[in-house]
Amino acid sequence: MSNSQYTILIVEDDENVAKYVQTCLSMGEYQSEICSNGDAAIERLSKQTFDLILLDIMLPGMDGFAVQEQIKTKGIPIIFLTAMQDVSEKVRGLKAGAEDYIVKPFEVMELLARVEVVLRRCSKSNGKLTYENIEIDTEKHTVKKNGETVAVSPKEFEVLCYFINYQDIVISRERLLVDLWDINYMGETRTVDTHVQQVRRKLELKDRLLTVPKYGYKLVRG
Amino acid sequence: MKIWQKIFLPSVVFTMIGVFAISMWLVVRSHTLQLEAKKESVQSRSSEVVAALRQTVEDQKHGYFLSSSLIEETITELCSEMSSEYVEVSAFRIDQAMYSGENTCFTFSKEDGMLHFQTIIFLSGAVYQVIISENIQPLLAQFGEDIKTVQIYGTLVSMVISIALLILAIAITKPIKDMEKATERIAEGDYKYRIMYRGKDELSELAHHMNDMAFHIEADTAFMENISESRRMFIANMTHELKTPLTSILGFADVLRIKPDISDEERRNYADIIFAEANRLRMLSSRLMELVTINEVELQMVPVNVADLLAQTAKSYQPICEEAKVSLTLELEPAIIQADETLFATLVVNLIDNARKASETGKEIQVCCKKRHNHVLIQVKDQGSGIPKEQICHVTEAFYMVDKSRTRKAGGAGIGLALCKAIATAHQGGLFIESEYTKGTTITVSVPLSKEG
Repeated sequence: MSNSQYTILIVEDDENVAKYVQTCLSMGEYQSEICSNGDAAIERLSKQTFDLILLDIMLPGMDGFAVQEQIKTKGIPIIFLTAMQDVSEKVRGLKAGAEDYIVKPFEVMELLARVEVVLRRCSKSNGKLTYENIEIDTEKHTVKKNGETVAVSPKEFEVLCYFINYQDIVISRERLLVDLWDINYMGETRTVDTHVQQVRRKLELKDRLLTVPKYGYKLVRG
Repeated sequence: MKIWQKIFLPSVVFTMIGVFAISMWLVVRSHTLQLEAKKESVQSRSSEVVAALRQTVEDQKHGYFLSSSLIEETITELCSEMSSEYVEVSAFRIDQAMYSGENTCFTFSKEDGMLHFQTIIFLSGAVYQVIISENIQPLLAQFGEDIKTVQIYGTLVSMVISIALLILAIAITKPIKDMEKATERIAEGDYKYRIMYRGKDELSELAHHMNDMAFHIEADTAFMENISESRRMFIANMTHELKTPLTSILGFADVLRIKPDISDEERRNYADIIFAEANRLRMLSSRLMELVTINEVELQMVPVNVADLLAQTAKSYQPICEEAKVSLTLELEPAIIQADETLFATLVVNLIDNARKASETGKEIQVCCKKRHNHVLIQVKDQGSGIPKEQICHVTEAFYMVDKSRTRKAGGAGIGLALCKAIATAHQGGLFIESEYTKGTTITVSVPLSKEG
């Protein structure tokens, strides 16, 4: 199932932030629509269903929590966008049934990673990823190239899936460290390089998985 | 020890001591009196007996000498005649040697419940001892019984009094107990709780004062909560206002950094947004600095002619207003105030700028200043979009925006009026808003006139 089949509703009152979120989503190949306030969002949702809602909390008039209260029967997963870093607000949002919570400001990959996690958790995906002649079964953790199984370590498997999910996007070493190794520091990135090189070698991706000098890597769209 | 115990226990002890002491004293006294009366009656009886003896002996003598045995016989006869059930009379001759002169001598002796009264008399040449004995056993028995009665009744009365005192003590201390519970509730944070107490005694006064105290605590905590709530709102709003442009700036910068093949148009578009949002952030930060520092820095007070200041500001706005086809009319009365020129200019600029932003093509802005009593009133009147009635009280709060999208488009962050109000307040003045939704707004700033002017 490719990302373009997902439609995401953005509820954000600031025009530029909404535009930015939409740009992010389009980089992840998602379809999206923008509503600038709660009433418009509820109106929009009564006509069409979405796979995910990115909901700002501080909206003019009805706030994000109120909007969520009104639409929670629809069962659409919600990720809150907010400027607050207050833990109590976070707890309130998650208690009310939000799937996740993104604090502004946020980077493109941060948003895409959260969106992907939520969508994968909430939709019944078949657990299959494909890239050119590579087939991946995310449930069985197997990788096949031209029908032949390629042995990869669990971390290499994660790295490969990550690049396939974000094709054509330049991904920094730090981002990989944060998302795959759960390490949140700027420092030793050699581990990342080693794993990427292994993936590149084992799956013969020399011309596809490119090194972006001084920044990171990019998998050319298949 | 509880107060009711402090009242109750000493009262009971003192009452019991009092009751017993008084009743015992009464019983003993009456017994003594009875005994005294008995003694007197015995004594008079004795005199009677002696007199009777003398008379009898005298009568029988008739001038003759009587043998002592005859006299004794007579005496014994008489004695037995005069004895009765309770009183025993006896007289007998004693040795002359025991007689010590006079013929009257009284002695009391009390033994075996008998009261004896002894008289020694001299009768026709011999000495006789006359003894009157009275049985006072019943009297003593009565006394013993009285003591017992007093003990029983005293105990009973004391018990009744104790119970009455106990009830009284508890009744008196109950309001104290209630108050204690009430203060406990208030201390636990239930500031709305009030003590119910009727009457006009010291306790009701105390209750009254404690209610007053609770009222003030309630009012003060509400006040403090209000302050902390408005602080919280301020910080929440500020965070939102700062982070929104920051999100766009950081976000589009990130997009430029990581997005492959960006068209020239897209790049320009993103750069424009970054530029605009960075500007918004710059404007916001300088406004915020102004707002925050008003109360921190010392104002440089100099005489300022409000009319001149308004005229200058209006002049600088004239081209913008002409371009937007908004007419700007002035009606100025010269007035001197003591003001920080820079700050006050900010106030005036903000007022006119607000009016301009609210005005559509063809509308009019009226700026006037006039003296009223010892104040100068600066009025800026527009025919713009106005403020809904229920929002008027909020518009001077920092970050409050009536129409968020309009404010944003005009490059505002909802700080202007908060700033104006803070400046007016810093000049011992006030800011008042009259507005009719969709018809227009009049903002009046009132500042005291300079005393020298």
